[in-house]
Amino acid sequence: MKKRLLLFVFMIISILLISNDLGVKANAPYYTVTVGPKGYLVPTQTAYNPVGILNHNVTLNGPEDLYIKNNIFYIADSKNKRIVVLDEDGNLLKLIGETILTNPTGVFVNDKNEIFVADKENKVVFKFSEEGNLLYTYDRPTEPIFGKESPYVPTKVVVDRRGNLYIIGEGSTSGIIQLNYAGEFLGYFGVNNTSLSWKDKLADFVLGDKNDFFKFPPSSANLSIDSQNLVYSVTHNVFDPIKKLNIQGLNVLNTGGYYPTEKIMDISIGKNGDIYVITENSLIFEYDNVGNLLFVFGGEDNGNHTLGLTDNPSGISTDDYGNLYVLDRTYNNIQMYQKTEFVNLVHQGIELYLDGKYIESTSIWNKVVQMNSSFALAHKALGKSYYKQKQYHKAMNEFKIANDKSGYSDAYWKIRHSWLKSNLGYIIIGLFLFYIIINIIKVIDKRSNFLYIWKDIIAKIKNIKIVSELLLLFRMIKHPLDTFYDIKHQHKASYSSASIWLFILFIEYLIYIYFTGFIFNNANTQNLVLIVEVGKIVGIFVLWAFSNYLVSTLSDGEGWFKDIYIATVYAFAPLILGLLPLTIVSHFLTFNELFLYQFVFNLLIYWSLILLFLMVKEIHNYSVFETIKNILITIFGMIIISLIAFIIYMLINQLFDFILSIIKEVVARAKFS
Amino acid sequence: MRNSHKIKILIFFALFVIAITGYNVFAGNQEHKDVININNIYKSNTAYLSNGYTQKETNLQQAISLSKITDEYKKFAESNNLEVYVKEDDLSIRVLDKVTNYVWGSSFNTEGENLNRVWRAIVNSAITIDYYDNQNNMKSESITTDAKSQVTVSYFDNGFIGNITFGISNIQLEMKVYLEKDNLKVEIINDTIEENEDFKIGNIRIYPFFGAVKEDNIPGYIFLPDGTGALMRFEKINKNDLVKYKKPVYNYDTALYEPSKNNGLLKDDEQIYFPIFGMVHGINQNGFIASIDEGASYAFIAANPAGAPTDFNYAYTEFSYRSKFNQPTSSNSSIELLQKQKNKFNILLNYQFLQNDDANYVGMALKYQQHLVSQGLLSKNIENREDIPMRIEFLGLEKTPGLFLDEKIKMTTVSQMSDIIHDIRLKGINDLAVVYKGWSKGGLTGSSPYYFPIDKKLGREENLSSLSKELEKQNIDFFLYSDYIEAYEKTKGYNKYYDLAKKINSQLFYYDMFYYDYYLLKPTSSSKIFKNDIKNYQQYNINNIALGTIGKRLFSDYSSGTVSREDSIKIYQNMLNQYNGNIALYQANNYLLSNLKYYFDVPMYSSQYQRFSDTVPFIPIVLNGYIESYAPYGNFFSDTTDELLRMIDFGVNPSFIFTHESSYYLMNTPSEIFTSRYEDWKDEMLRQYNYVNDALKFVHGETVRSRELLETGIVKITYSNDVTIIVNYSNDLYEYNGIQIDGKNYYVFEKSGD
Repeated sequence: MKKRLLLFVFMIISILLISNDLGVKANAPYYTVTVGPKGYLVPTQTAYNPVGILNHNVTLNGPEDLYIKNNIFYIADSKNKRIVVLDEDGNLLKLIGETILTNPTGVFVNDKNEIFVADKENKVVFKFSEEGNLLYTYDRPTEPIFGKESPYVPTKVVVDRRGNLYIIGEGSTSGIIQLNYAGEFLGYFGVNNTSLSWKDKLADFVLGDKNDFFKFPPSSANLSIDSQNLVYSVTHNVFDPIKKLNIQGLNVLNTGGYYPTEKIMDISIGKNGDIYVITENSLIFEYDNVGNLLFVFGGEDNGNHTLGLTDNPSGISTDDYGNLYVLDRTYNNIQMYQKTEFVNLVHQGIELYLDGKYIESTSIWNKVVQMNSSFALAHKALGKSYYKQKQYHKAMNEFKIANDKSGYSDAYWKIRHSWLKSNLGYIIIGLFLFYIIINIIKVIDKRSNFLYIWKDIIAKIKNIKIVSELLLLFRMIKHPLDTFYDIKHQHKASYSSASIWLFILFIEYLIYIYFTGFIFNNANTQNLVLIVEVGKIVGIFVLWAFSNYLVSTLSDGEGWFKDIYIATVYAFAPLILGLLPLTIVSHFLTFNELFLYQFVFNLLIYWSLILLFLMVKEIHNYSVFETIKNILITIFGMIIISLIAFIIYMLINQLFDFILSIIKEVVARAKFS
Repeated sequence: MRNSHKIKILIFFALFVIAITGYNVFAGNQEHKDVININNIYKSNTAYLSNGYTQKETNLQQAISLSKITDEYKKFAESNNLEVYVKEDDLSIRVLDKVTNYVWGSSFNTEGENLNRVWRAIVNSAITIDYYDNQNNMKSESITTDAKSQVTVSYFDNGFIGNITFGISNIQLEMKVYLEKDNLKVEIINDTIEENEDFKIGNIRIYPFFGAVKEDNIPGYIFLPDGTGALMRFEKINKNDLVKYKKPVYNYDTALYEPSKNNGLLKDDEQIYFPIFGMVHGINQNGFIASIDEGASYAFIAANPAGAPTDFNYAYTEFSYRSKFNQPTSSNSSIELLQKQKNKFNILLNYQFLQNDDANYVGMALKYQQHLVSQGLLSKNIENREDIPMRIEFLGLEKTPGLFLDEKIKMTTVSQMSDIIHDIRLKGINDLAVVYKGWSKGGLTGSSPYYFPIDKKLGREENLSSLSKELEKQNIDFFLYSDYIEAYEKTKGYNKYYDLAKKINSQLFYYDMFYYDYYLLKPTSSSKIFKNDIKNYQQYNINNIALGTIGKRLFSDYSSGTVSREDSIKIYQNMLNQYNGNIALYQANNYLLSNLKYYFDVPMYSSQYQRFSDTVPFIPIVLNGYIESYAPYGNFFSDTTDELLRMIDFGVNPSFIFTHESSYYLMNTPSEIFTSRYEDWKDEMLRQYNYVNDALKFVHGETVRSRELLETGIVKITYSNDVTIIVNYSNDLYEYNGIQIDGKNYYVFEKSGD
């Protein structure tokens, strides 16, 4: 869900940036984007060029589905109640089912060139011979397990090599209906999970209204089948709208979250296993066989009937050459998109890459990178190739560009391993020497005290007020309770010392965001705004202290604002002391040590939170129960304060806007009438 | 005791750190020079049947005119080739072409046609207007709509003045129609339009049905100047595609109307650069081209195919005197108001007629070429060269936002650029136009209009000026790129209170591009800032500048008084006239052609609306022989061969944009460049240049004489020096005059005629 949102945001960003046209003009009326470094969508060469309309000689009416077999086009010409068969130049070959069909919405052709048609109004699936004779009618299954109440309104159909039918039915929420060649019900296939968004859950909770309608899993919208007999389905409003279903009906496709945000109308599998989907707003997405997003292009026509744009796409399909065809149910046409040299190159690379022939694909991917330096998949493939050739530094570099963390981690592990293997001896000797020297110095010092000057200076520095105040933080680790006592009663820390530590924490936070090792760095530094980051850290601390002060004055807390503020900052001693070393260490870890990294990170956070708890207890002299109550109310208070601030801001804004609009309208009316 | 404990911890920690220490050396990208065979591309010629290409003429039938010269028509003017007649009650005209004996009419006999009363009035009347009533509702009226309309005609030498008072709206205007040599002119002077209290003028449509054709009764087409040029062939009614074409010349005046931004991945449509349209009745038989010589910036060009909504194909121009606009009153509400003052401009339409072999789009282009020459907008500005020139652009610096400070991304320094130019010359290419972009502190995006001095990271003033001098010696034009129309929010060099243009609704022209927000400068301020920079260019020894935006962006300004689009044109023309050196523009409307040495990014396509049947190289043909034109960057082609063939077909020179660093570093910048490193491109650049040069060097500086389709996808272009080039876009071998031309290749016939 989060990734999908990201995709959406990235799309907007890249598109707006694109609109600053620098002359990447070509045939197509749309830009093509691909996945670039850091997961951004970046512009690339046109992938598919629109080249014209196929059905010049044949008039369609509200066509709903398109299927291409051996470069013969089968179109469910729904409102004309027939199946139209065209050759690759758009000439009419034959019409099928003219007197039989009433609302054909799905068409499929098997290897024997038998034509399967899902008819939504007849509520059956018809099977026609190649010549167009009706061979069989797949009626509603009579098996009891199909369910008496279950609807049977076939809209789309595919058939596997064994002759089993996979039928999408309107309202068939139990999954894809699977029939065998004789029409016997085999079961439901590939059930969608119900996924309730937190909004729905909240609505349910608040309203107490158990609206069962939303509890049914959504039924799929369309489906396709590939040469390996794997069924693909598309569904709206689920977490994974595109599914590649294995024999068990489980999804095996991993797109890394790159899904269309709009409703998907149709899916088609190319000859080399590429997946094409088209969305309601006419965007075409191409994925490779395992789900890597390759290209996004297309767009909704704005009424000008521009070549290459569609208004209401209802089907997408590919011919044997890898060209695309899109069916439009409003414009009643089939548009053809021809694949370009660039796409051809990418496809060649992917074919080798998916076969694991990384080294063989190197030259192709190098060419792709030459043509688009931001093509992430090419960098990933190059990384794998270098890894295989034991060129780990190069591999790391490529993986980094491709944002492939596990690849990067593997390559780095190899480098670290070989470095350690050759240098471990020296390290141990060095450490040993270091240890001995330290001890010698100590022994000498004990006898002659020759380090006394230094010790004096250090003692003097420690006596400076602000330094001693700052150093109090280190005591927090071992003696938290004593330290809180010192802060509250001995005033051993001040506003300035606390503020300095808060500032240091903020700096550490920035360093953490910017300079954490690549493997563990998930921050998107592009969109950071300094003031927002300051607000996040400093603002929350101050808001906490303020809210806590307000709450505790009302509930017999003993702490003053000053105590709370200082103690809060000091309570975060573990994080302040540990974040920087952790950030440094992150550069030298691989995914194998992920557990260690996360453990330390969590340790720092939870330790700090425990100290915060103790802080409230000690500063206000509360019992445990009172402390918990106080903290909860404080958090509640923080929310309320933020809300009030927001509301006041909005109201002032509205008022200002209102007054301004009255003035503007009066001025405009006076000026123009 | 405690100390040693500490040390132990320290040692443990150090051990831990060191034990897993490694080091990262990021090696640079490896170069590979492998040749990839592209073999399993779909071998289909369908693409060449689409409207992205020109189609073969299949219907060569004789055209028979719809209009007749009946007794009601009175001859009022005559020239060598033409006789013109008028009918006094509706001012409809007939033009007799004496060469071909063909009659052009602005109307036709509507009896028996499927037209209602309103449409008949429009067909018969010389003028149809839109007007606004008291309630700001727009209504239409033609001369013959109401019986109360009055028309008085007074004749003068070779022309007449028609004084029209419309019956319903009582709006008056004077239309002057006359012959000047063989040019038929229609003129409406702004001052003659008289409105009244109740009715205000909106739009004027002049002779909308001049040359109208019923369905496909006459073979031919409407020519539209969309992008590089498009044809709309006369066809039978196609129910699935009944969409009209109507576009403002020079794009919309954004001061009055801002089209909503395209969402998704859509590109902007092509715009109209030349204010013309034309028609052909019978291929190589009869044709006309109409150019809007005055009032173009408030004109729309419209074309309606048969079926939308009449049975006739017709094309016309509409002039907009007044329109409604949105006046925002707060951040989320607005009111709709009508322009109080009408736009001030005169209308001058010029019809030129084409006969026989000239009656096609090439003839139109050549006629318009001569017309531009006679207007003083076009002059021969081409050097004699052995080879064709190539444009090479370099990107110096680009900026990306950082947390504290903007990060400068250095792509090509002056010395790196110098090395690359040297390398290109070593490869044997000496005819170069070099452009340096993004050379100032703000980088490529976000500098304008503040440019000087050069950013220190790229080099010093003396580096740039010595390079410029050196290149000048070698006869290479070295351009600095700048833009004086857009004013970025985060730059200097202009005053936010005095220098920014405003829309009619008193809003600034403000474009929100996230970090790169910009405004538009007042035309007068653009001129002022540019004038101040001229001496800076001289100081840098720069004698050539390439200007962005100004070529195709035109708007009126309401910041203080009204600067109309017509005024803006004059200001921009004067602005460029101040400069003595050479100017190159990135696409240019017709009014700036006279200032131009090079025309960059020549449009290679039309908008390809499905109602278009062909794309034709109108702009390239007009420019050929007069101004050197350059294609968009070759870096970003996806079907390189097709694009190169198109460049040869259109007679357009190749272009590239290069950087020294990898374009990977431009990832987070608004530059959409995704491949530009010279190292990656040098071989491919040479290949592309040689491929195009081997064809176009024979016709450099020549004008196109004819261009015809031999078969679908096979184009024959003949130039004024009798050199013929045959471009074979298709995948199949083509034999011509005993010469076999491979699929996706070309052949040059020198001096042999055919």
